Amino acid sequence: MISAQRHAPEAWKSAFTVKKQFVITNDLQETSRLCADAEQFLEEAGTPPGAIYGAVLALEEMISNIIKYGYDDHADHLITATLSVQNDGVELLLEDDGHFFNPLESPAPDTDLPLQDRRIGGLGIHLVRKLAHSMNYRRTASRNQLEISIRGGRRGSGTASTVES
Amino acid sequence: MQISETDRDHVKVVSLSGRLDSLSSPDAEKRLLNLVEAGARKMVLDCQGLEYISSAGLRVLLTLAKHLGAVQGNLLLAAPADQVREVLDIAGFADILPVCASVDEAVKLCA
Repeated sequence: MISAQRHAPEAWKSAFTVKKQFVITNDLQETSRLCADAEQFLEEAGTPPGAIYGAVLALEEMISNIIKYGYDDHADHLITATLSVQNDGVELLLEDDGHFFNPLESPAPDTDLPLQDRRIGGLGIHLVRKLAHSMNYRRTASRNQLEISIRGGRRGSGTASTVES
Repeated sequence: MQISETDRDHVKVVSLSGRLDSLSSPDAEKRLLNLVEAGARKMVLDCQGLEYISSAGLRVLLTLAKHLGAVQGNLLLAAPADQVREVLDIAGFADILPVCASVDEAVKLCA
């Protein structure tokens, strides 16, 4: 059992950015609470509604993906989400100690199939890739680091890059 | 997530209100499939109060559409908010699930 502090251990303000870090364990209930807390934080920070939707969606999709597929054991793991509010959107940084997984390499689902052949797998990542302005993935020695930039009001350009380290 | 239903011209109109996310989706799916099991064939989902949908919620809509399709039923969506509509569009649901601007229009088309 991990006794680490959960949810919003710190928040600080500067002239240009409002930043908040959330730490949860690999648990879907906690993910849902994190999404609700993140939404409230972004609303209070004055983030445009379109960017809030995109940010909350990115948190839910990416963290539930990590929880479902990221671990090879049944132990508790910490997942960190850092939100930085910019003038026109939000920068998200997700960090986990699951096995290597680069969502930018996951194939896009076929969204043209007829109803009976339609599958839902991969749709979450696809939504985030389309809604994000940009995404960057980095693998350190033991951690996945995913940066997602969400801009307000309009759909992102979907640019993506992977940094080897 | 709140779900309420009314019958209009032999069409089951189901109002979805709140968030259809990974937490609420399993229960929502059960309730919607129960309606099909109980005999509903023509269904309109009133999405006016739907604030948020994620891929977990899209899975519910897809499952419901497949179940209704298997019994020659019909499913239409009505009046989703812009951001919900955008998610439906990105997922390519526009081709498999007709979206109407209003509940009245959807009921007329479905009946």
